[in-house]
Amino acid sequence: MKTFDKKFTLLWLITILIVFLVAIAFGITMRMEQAEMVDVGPLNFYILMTSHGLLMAGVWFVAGMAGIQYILSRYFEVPRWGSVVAYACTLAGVVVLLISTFLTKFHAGWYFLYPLPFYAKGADSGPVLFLIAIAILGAGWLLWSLVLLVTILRKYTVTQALAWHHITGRPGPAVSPFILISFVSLIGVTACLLAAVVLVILYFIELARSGTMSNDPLLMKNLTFFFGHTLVNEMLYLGLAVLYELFPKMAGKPAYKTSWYVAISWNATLLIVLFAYFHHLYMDFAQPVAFQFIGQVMSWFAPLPAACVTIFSVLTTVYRSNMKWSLASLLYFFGVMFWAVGGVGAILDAVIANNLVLHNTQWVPAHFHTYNLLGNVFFSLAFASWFADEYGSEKMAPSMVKVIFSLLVIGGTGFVIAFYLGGALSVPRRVDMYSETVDEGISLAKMAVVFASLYLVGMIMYTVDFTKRCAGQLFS
Amino acid sequence: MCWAAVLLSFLLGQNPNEMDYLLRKIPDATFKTSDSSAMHISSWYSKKPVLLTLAYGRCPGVCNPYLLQIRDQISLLGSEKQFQVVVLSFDAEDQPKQLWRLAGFNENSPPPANWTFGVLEEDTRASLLTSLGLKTQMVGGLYEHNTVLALIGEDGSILQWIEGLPGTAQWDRLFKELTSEFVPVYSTLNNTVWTSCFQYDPASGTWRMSWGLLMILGPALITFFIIIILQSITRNDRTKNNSSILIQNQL
Repeated sequence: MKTFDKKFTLLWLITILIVFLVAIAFGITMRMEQAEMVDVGPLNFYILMTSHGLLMAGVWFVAGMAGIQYILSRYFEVPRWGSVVAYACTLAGVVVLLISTFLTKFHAGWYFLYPLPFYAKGADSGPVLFLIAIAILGAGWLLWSLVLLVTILRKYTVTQALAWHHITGRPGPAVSPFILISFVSLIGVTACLLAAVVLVILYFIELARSGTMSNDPLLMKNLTFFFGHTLVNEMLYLGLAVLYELFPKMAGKPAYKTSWYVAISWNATLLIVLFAYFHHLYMDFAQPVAFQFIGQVMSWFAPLPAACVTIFSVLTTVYRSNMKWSLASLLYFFGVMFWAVGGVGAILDAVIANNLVLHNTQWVPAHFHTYNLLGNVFFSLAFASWFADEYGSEKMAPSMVKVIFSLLVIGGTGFVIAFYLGGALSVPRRVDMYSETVDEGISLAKMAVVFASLYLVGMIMYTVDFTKRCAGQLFS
Repeated sequence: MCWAAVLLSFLLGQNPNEMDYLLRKIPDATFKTSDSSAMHISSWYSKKPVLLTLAYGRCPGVCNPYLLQIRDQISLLGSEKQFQVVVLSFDAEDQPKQLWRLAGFNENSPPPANWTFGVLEEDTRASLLTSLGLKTQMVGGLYEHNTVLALIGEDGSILQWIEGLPGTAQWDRLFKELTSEFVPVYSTLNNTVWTSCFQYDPASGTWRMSWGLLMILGPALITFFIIIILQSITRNDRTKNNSSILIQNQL
């Protein structure tokens, strides 16, 4: 382990925590607007929504990648330039993104669904700047992903990295679950970032032809959700890969080994997750009906292999263990459980019959905030906590562990419950104010503001504590 | 001559582009009816959907068979109260009753209540013709013109736009829209969508998947090839690694 790897991981984590606090503030402002506690107006609401969504998706994707880079560097020589270029691209991309949203008033949402960028654009330069931001972020992340894939392939062949010999029983090197899950996730990340590349190219062609050519909306929507849905799934798996490496050690148990069922489940996940995004197109009547059925079936199967195996592994690890519950182990354990809750919410929404009712209601942000805010974010915060405990000047005080953990769990749970209730009451999402027919949305937004503020307080305490314990290492 | 104009435009490959007109609002033009009263088109489309077409009474060509075909098709539908057919003349010299004859009506067999005939007033005529894409040219005292059938919604916007004689599939789609039946997808004859997911065969009215849909597979296929290339590039590193592991094991 080189000092550079530690310092650069630390730099990533501090940057991620700061951007996360900003993005939470954007989110709370949106809920305050819906609660009629402030009046930012519809334009600023959608500007905040665009910035909040992309910052959150981006920040927790790079958090997962930083974790993978760090753990990989404990075993192999990982080229540093991939992470450095990705860091530079992430900073540049975020700056251009915020210029496009706050200065040129681009407000088409983080998934920039076609043809909205040509309308919800503010100034004419808005969509151009936004697409440049996506291109910078995508290029940096794609490069990083390829560098990490090359690092794994220097040691293992593709079939070995996919642990096929663990399934067939043929001789071969022992492949840890961390390598298997990282490899599977990085393949998915590469595919979805390539979808973003195709998407951005098609947008730029249409912009360059200024009205003389248009893209097929169905193709654009498919590419958008292939990118967006797959990315948010894969970034969760990146966090899980690190969990598989660290959690058994926290419980004082031997490291996880790749058994045949773990290998099968993650190979299945590699394929299934690429098709699950079809459930975003249930309302698109022009989509071939067969795709809709594939979307439903794949959505049912998507969480089964990864989630069932992981939940089983985590529960058996904790059972009769000598676990010393630190903030890291608490966040990992509860992160997996909340991931399961959010997964059930997602499956319910992905059933076509349910989707007719739940589509575009607050059920959607309810489920994805559950497995992101209380799942994926917890995984990355757990890694950061473990990192700070290992390399920081001191371990986190037990009283601080209790306070921060309680604030994050109570704040996060209350916040998502407000969304679930909104979904059950058919309160629409993506609106800045509610009509009389769904005025429950106002009181639920007030409830969300209170709980999200608790979560924010917890995160501020976490960030201050983390920086206090680790910042010295950065400049040592 | 009108037929010649339609045929010529077809041969020259000037495909009508429905997308240029769909969802655009038409001006609320005024016209004179057979009882000499002035009416706004909005007085009809604000109440129910309007099937709007334009013709002129002295037309020696397409207007008569065109209106007869519309009448025949509508009689097959049998839901006449749900919409209004408005036939307007763009020729100021016309009388509304002249248009009756083109559609096969006369004093003994007058048009039913859901048919309205009128002559456009001078002030809004040009703007209505432009908004509907109706092109006219005076040649030898007669008009050369194309034919347009538009379905107008209750806010005055064009919901469907058909140039020329509608085909069976177009009538089918039009009637579904008129009777509020769901129309999932249809061709807009727009050739500028080069990444189209579907190809439409107007002759059979059927669809088949196009290569645009296959582009969805592109990112996954490219990733597959990238992984294969990366495996091949890193072969030497793996051999070195394996050799060093073998030496360590032997030692």
